[in-house]
Amino acid sequence: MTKRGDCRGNGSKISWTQVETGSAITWKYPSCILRGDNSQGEFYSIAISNGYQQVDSGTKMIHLGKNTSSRIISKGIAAGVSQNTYRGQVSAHRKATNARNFTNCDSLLIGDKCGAHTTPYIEAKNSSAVFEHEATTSKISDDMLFYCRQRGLDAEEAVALVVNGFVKDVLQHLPMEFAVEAQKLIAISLEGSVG
Amino acid sequence: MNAEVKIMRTAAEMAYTDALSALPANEPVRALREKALRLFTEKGLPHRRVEEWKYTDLRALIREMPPLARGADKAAIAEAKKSAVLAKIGAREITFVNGAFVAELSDLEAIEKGLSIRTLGDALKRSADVAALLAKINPNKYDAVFALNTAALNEGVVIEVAPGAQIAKPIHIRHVVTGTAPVSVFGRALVTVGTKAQATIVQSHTGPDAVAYQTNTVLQLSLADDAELDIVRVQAEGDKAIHLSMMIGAIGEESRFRSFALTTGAAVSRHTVPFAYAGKDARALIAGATLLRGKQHADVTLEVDHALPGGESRELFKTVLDDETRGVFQGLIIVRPDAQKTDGRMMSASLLLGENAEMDNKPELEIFADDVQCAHGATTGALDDDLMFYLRARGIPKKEAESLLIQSFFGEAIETIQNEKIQESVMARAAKWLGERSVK
Amino acid sequence: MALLEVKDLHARVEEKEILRGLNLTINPGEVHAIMGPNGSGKSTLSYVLAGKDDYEVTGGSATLEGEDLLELEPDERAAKGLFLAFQYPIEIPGVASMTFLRTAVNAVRKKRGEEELSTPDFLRLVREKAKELSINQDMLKRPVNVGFSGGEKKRNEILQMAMLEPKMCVLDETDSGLDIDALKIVADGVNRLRAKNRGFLVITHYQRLLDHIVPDVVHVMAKGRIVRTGGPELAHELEAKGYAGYENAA
Ligand SMILES: Nc1ncnc2c1ncn2[C@@H]1O[C@H](COP(=O)(O)OP(=O)(O)O)[C@@H](O)[C@H]1O
Ligand SMILES: [Mg+2]
Repeated sequence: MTKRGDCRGNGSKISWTQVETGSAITWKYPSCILRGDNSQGEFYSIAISNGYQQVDSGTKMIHLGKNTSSRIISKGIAAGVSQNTYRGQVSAHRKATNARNFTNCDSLLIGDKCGAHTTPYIEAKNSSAVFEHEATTSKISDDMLFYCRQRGLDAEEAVALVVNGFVKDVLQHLPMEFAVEAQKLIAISLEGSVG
Repeated sequence: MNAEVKIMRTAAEMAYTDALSALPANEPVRALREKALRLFTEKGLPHRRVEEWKYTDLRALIREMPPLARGADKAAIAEAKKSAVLAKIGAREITFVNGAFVAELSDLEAIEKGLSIRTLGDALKRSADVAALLAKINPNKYDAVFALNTAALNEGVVIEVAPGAQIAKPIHIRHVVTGTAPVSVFGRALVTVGTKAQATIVQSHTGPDAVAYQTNTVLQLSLADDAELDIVRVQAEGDKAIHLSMMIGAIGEESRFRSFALTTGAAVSRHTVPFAYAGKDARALIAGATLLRGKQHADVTLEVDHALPGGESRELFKTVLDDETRGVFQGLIIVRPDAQKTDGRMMSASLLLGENAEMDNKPELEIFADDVQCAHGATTGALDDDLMFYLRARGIPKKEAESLLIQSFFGEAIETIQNEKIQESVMARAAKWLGERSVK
Repeated sequence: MALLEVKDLHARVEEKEILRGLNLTINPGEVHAIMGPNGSGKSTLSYVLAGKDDYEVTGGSATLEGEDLLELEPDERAAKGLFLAFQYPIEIPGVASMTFLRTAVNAVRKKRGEEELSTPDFLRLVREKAKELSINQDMLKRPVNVGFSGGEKKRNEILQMAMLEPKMCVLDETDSGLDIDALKIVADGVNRLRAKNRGFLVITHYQRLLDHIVPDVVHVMAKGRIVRTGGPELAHELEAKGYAGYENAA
């Protein structure tokens, strides 16, 4: 599925927030075309893969207008034998003066048979562009899990809690009722991820 | 899309096939060369729809192939003698002029115990291992630069450091192009470092401005267990040149590898680094500074492949883009299922000085093991206005203020060079680049 | 019946034997202190009791109210009433302390067959206990231990302990990194929890904490064993003489 948002008006703002828990194979690339001056694009994403799923998520931020800014926060969680991929494109065109982007793209691995892949394309064609990209991939912390379990959480509850913390930056951009739903969804999608 | 367009070969592609198939046979590597040429003839130059070449469309950038260089005559040698680069680092120099080894510009006297330096031709005649290594250390997939270089395999240098040998004096491989007529030049270097051995290799590339020559060099590295190797590369080709290069390495258990690449030359350059961890607990640092002006296009593409546990990799690249230049950084860290406890960190930072400069970053993580710590970062931006204002408010003129900030920006990468003299020399070259910069 | 009974416990970490035949009996209502040089295995004992992975028990037993602890999962031990205040409390980014507490309290209550606390009851309880430990509401909104000072982390451990109503509390160097005021707050928090059916094992390197939490029994641990046991006066003796005599005693 692909969605596209076009910020035509000056000062307009588009914000995508998605929680992707994956059918067997998923691709999801909502994109923002920041055409109007001072327009803003935001993309907040949680992508969880478990079992044999293959989840692909990502976004495009195309900066065309002046003083446009975008922000991408992507949290990928891979469990089981799944593959979790982030693909993102950020580009500032010749006339897009003062384009700003901040991208943070973190992956969390649960179990030793899953994979996480991060492929961003960052293209600045304007010297006034300021783009910052950071990405990390790491294993879920055993110390955190043990701490939670010492406080009485069982293995799955502990994983769900740590994962919820990991995706917090994205969850807080969801309306309250969605956030609660999302949390449930995360717990369900991770069922059976710990042995 | 038109199917006929796809199979049509460009003039340059046809010229390569013609020129390289006409080369005299070189028996020990005949099969290797023929296979590479067949592959090239079939697959050709990459274009932007080939993912690894997305930002450097070789098919569009290379329109024609200049004739193969005819080696070095007296005039060429005299010219090469004058073009000193990194002359003060106290290195043992091995010089290739227009692709040909030049004994009178090479220092093969009093070679240290445990060190062997031979021309490729000489080495091929004496040991079968060399031909095997030339074939074995490869990028694992079709790469046009490597295929062309292999199809042209003829001249080069083989440097072997025996187990346990500590070679303090750096070895400097110079690739010099001379003359005013465009030529195509190929070069190959193979470096093997034995168990617990250590060496430092410098590689430089220079040539005349205003001549549209093309160079293609491949450096193959093999580090045994617990070996240590430093590579410093200075690419200062002439301003109309096309420079294609590759550094391919495989490093053994607990080995330590460091490399630095300074890129200031060529109209178009591409430096590809496929790098494999062949033993556990190995450490590698791959760093570089790319300083561009005019309409230069420079591409650095890394592929760091962790297949075994405990590896550590650090990549640090700084790109300064003036005028209408274009910089490309593609960096891929792969962590395969067995490579638990891998610690990989990759950073590409770029400074856009020219209003019409462009930087394309593609840092990638591909992780299949779970107990890992990997991160990459990429930043693109202009000089910090607040810092500039601060410096100028302290009475520092604009150009100096800019130079100061730019120098501190790329300095971090240059400082990773371990050998002090080489570091100084590289820093001086970078500073010279800054000095020549015109301030708008 | 003894509350905690450890018999001839042997344990190793990464092939290295750390606990080498440790015996310890704590009865309900008692406060025991374990002192000993760095590296003697004090934290290892606390981890083995709490069931951390990588700590392999190779012999002996440990029971809580007669029930075998070593067979249980860490969260089951917590539900049975074993609480460990960590020497180095773990940071959990993104999870508010309040959320964490609530999740833990309800998880433990559920396993004990008790009803979940209603939101108002829970909040009232947290506020009350937090106030006693000088923990402000702002701290509870912050992610667990992230950006907390050393003192804040240790107070947070005691707050969790108070909320989870354990039977057997193990405090691993809860005094380290605390200034005197924070030490008092923490000690008062512990003392408030002293009860006739509850036991404490206070692990510390220094006697100073034991001026505030006065123990019934003091043990000296060296090289993975208890090498001496005495009354509170033993702590003073150690303070004066140091551990020098014990390094080789085991
Ligand atoms: N996870 C671990 N891996 C390897 N060695 C460990 C580990 N934990 C503890 N040890 C070793 O066990 C010994 C006892 O450590 P510890 O129980 O922390 O002592 P204490 O708390 O008394 O200072 C030390 O030698 C320590 O190095
Ligand atoms: Mg300890």
